[in-house]
Amino acid sequence: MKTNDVILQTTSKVVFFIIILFAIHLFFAGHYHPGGGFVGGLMTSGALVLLLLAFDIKTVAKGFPIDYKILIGIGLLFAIGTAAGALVFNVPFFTHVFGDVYLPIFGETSLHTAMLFDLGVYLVVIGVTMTIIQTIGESE
Amino acid sequence: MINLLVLPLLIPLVTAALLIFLPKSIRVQRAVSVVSAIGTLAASIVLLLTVKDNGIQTVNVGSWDAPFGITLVSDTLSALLVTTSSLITLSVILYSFRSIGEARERFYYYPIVQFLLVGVNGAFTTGDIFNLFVFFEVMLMASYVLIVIGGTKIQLRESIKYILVNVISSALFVIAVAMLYSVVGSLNMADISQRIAQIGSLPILTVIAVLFLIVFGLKGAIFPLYFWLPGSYYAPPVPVLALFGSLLTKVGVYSILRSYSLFFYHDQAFTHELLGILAIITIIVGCIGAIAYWDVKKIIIYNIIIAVGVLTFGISVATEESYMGTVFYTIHDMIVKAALFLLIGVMIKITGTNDLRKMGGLMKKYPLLGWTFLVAAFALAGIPPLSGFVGKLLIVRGGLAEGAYVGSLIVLLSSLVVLYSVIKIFMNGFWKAPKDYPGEENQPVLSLWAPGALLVLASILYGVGAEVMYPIISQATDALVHPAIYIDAVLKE
Amino acid sequence: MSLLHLAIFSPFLMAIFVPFLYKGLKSIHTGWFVLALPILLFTYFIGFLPITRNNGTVEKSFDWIPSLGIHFTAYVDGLGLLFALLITGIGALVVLYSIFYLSKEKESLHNFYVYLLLFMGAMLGVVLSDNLITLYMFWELTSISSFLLIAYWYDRERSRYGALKSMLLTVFGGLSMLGGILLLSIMGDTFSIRELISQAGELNQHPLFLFALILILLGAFTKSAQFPFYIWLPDAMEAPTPVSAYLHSATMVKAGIYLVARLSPIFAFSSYWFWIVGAIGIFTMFWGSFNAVKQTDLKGILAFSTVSQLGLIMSLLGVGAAALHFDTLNDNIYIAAVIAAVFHLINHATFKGSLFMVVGIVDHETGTRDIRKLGGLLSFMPVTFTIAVIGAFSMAGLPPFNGFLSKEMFFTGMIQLVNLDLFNLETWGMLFPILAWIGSIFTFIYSMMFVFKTFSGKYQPEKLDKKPHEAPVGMLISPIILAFLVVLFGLFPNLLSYSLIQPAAAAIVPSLVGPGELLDVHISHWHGFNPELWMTIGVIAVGTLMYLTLSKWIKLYALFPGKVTLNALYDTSLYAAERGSYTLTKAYMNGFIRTYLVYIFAFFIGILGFTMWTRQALTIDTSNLAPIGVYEIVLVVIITAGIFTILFAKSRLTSIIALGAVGYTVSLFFVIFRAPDLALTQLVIETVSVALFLLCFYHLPKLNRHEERMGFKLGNLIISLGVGAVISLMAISAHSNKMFESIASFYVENTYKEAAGKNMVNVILVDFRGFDTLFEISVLAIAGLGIFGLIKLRLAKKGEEADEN
Repeated sequence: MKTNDVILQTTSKVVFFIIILFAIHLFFAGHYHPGGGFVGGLMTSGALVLLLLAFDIKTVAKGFPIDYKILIGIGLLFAIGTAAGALVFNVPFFTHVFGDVYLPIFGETSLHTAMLFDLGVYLVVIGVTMTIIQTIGESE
Repeated sequence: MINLLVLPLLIPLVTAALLIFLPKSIRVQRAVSVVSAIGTLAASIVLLLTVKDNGIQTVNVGSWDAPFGITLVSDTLSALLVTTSSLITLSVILYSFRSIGEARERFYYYPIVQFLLVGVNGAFTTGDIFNLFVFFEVMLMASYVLIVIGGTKIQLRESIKYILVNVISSALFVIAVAMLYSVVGSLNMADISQRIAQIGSLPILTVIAVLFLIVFGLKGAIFPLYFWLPGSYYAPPVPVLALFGSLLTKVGVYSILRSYSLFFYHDQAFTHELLGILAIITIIVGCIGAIAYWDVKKIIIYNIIIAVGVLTFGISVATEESYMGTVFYTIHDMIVKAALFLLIGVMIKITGTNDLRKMGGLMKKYPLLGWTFLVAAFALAGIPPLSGFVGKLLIVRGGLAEGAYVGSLIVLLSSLVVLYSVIKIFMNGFWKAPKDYPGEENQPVLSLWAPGALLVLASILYGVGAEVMYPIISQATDALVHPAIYIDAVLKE
Repeated sequence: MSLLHLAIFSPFLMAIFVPFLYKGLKSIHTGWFVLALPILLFTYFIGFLPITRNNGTVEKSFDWIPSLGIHFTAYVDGLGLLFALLITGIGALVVLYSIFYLSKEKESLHNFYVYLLLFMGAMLGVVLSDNLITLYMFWELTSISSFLLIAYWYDRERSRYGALKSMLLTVFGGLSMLGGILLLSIMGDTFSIRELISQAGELNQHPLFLFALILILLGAFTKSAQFPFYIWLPDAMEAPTPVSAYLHSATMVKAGIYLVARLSPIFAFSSYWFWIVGAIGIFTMFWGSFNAVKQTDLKGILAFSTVSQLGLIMSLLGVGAAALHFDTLNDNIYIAAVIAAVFHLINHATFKGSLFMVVGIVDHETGTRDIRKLGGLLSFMPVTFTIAVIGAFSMAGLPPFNGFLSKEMFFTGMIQLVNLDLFNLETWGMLFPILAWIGSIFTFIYSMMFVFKTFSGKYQPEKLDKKPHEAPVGMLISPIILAFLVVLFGLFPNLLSYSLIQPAAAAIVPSLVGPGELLDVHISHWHGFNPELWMTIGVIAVGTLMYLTLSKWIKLYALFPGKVTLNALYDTSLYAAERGSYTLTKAYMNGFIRTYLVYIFAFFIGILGFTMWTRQALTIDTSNLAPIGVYEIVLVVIITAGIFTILFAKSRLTSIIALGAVGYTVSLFFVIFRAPDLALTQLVIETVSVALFLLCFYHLPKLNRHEERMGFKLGNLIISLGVGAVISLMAISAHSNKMFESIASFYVENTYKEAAGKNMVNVILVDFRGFDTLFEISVLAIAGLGIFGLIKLRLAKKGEEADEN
């Protein structure tokens, strides 16, 4: 679809970043507050869809030269990897570990392997949504 | 290795994820697929032997104790089915090399097949009713893709029906799980069984049991829920059809078997009687369909329905003998159905048609194919000593012993119809005067034949070596007859 | 595994090598290699004679599936050995004959001999198995090898037809028999024939006994071509003649006889057994011979003759059953019937075998088997003629051949039946000797036709493809041997009586033979002018008269309408089954998903409603419910309005917007129920999916509301209301039946304590039930890839067919 609405386009650029930031916040908040990889991923895709609506697919593809199908693969591997890590330690599949770790900039931080898994979810959701939207959008 | 039972679903899952990165390198895809399928098969065989020697294997995923987390449970039945599915997937992958076509291969055919195996193996392995739903979804989504990939007209037309029916059945599945959860407050199947046993028969549970029967029956294609099957299965290419025909309906049958033996056994007079009646009608309509057509694919597709009827009849009788027969027969049917689909696939490749009336005389040029097909055909009909015999024998004997005379005789005589339908393929395809078919020289007949032949060989060994299988199958049956074995293994009490 | 097992399996082993011998040694006829085996086996089995002579037995067992009570128990007694000798003896002669009958240049000999060996092994297995399951296995294997042999020339339509027919009928019988076997095993808890025999008394009292009896007899009758199942046998004549001689007259068709004989000790106490076996047998005997006369194909005559002779033996076994029924009689005359059955079995194998070989020779040397074209061959083929005379006269029951003796004994059996004061025989029993006599007259007629239509009369060279001449010596050896036996057994029947007949008969009526005793089986030629002899004289007199006037009354056969024969019944029912199935299947499988959904949902409503009704499952418990607030009501109204909008929307855009509205309202529900995670997710999902819909919007055709018939719409309305009602009632009942504390409290307690999270929903998603999530994202991944493939890959129409597979 071809649109050429300057106002829409400018607004979209701004809103896009707001949504992305919100999405990332949602993702990180997940373990303690409403949010998580799934919603975060969807929200991110929502932002991208907004751009798609404002611009055309080619422009967006130029801006984000990502093969979203690869993103699906990466996300899946992340999620599986987190779950399968348990195999190395011979504890039941999917056993998470967590603990407080001292990191240089962040200070005392609570880390949880569930976060890695959620990252996988996040990536897969973006990958899938965008693959679908892009494919359908392109096939005009 | 406490996670051994995860491997048969983890290996294909990882493979699928990896293959997403390599859509263009077909050779690598093939190599990875085969290696992974062999790995899955090996892992499942190790698992089967472990279960045989050390009893039921369980893993509480995420270290959350049952019944709170998800528990994977590999009893002998599940390990057997997982092994069989892995074997079949391996053969189908091998067959696909020379038949599925590069276009489909580039569009994620192999990863989707691996995903399908994940779903199937997962459904056989999980001990959690909601997780079963999830694996159903994996399997179904993969099957949606496999049925539609290629985008030919018939595929598009039939896939929409297939998807619609299955989406409905998935919705019903969730509803059924929710209702069951409302009553018993648990999702772990062993826990459900234990809780139901405490209250015994409760009217609403009977209704929920019937709802589950509808849900699983839609997948397993029992009467009157099978209407979508013949058309939908007809659409995809033969290797996909082989996977569907041998695996998907069996997941439905397995789910009926599992739920009706593990926890829905308190109102057998109603639930199992109903199942028995539906099973018998399923056999009859399957038989009617199997003799109606001259299309090789259609004939074998209707044979799927007959087998589903036979199996569910075995479940409905619900004695040790009939369960044993059901287990024996399930494994047999999976192997032989896959083999038959692959073999008729070769016939179609050679002749370029599905229509028996246009075929003929293949015996002269392809005797090996002909004999392999004939053996598979006899195995399907349950001619001893081939693989279908023992299972059918036990199902019928179990049925007769329980006084289910009509059903048992129908099961017996259905063999005749099965035999007729497949012999029709043999007589019209392989006999008659030889013909020339355009393009037959270019078909890699031997490499297409080999995977089917591998399965036929497996079927022969399975039949003749029934004694070797007996302890395993009898162990699998034990857990069905005595739910306590399963429950104790899961809840460790 | 013993030598005996090896003997049974040796044909299978040999069969493996045959293709290699055929391919490797083209110059030598494969038959010569094969011939060695039956000869060897025959000599091997002869070695058992001294044992069985005194009613001794040999038993060797090895396990197949012992866990299910299935063993390869090889068991040799008089009956089994008699059959084993027939199988190997006739087998050797047939193989020898086939070497000259089948040309090594033109025929696929490897196939032929592989099938033949398969059959030989299977048949040995049938008669030497004590385990009913192994017996059944070999039984089906004989059906299969017969199927393959009949269709040996598989490019001929008639061959395939005959093969299929024989397979369907015999496998049908086999399956019934299996049902009977299973019933027996349920009653007696064993598959071993001898163990079952030892429980015969108890089995007789069992309610399933009659059921088992009928099922087993179905097996025997189909295999032995008894009325009304005989129709496959004439069509089986499409097989090469050596096969007809071997399978379809001497051995395989006698498997049913064997089964009846073998199981007599179990069943014969029942009067049903006597009635069914005897009546079917005698009627088949009559019917077969009656139909043989109208045949014009020599093999057709022999086929019907075989049917008739099998009926004869069967009826004798039926009468013989009386011997067991009256096992208290001192002078048990009915044993004579059993002895006659065994004797005739041997005789039939000899004379029928030689006659088939004669037909083969005639066919081979003249190119036809049609008696309308044949005639006057006597001068060309004197040797063949002699054999034919011996065989046919024996078949007709003329002295001094063996057929005469056994036919006399047959009459004896039938006449004595009349004296039996049981089973209401005083009324119907007379039919037995009458049918026997009439049947014998027709037997006489067709025997004469066989000889004289072929060898005497006018020679018609113009109707023949070749100039006839005497067959090569090799082809004559086998029939000469058989004809010699016909004469030999005719003159010295007692050569057989204590070596073969007595042991076999004793095995059929074991309870009548005490340890160390032997049955009295002395066979004599002359009994004085008794009724039997008069019957034979009558047969000859009337038969000769009728043969001479044949052309006058043969037309009577044409009065039987062709459409009401059993053959027509078979053909039409097969055709109707196929057509009917097709029509029926087409009718309900109409390809419309909406129809299928109607079926499915109708079933859904019906069965769940029925269950709820009969099980009284509807319970409504409102005690534990929160009050319904204003917000909920408002939201429900909005959702309902949205749904109705979708249903009646005229444009797609309206539908999409209404759908979005429903979705957003649902997320508001989550807000009210204080589930922010779900609300958030639902909101985003709605947004993305509405966006997706809008994207697709461009591709979709204009919304086209079918103007359906009112009835169809009404039906849909009822069904959707029904589904909704059933689901709602179930849900309410399920809610009202909360029987247990749910596992949810565990999550509340452990979200922070054990899983180190504060958002329970998220912890469930990534940890407690993260396993589910892992596979749910796999589902997403598959969907993504699938949609990509769906849209990007369109295989061209051309090559679609090829790509289908």
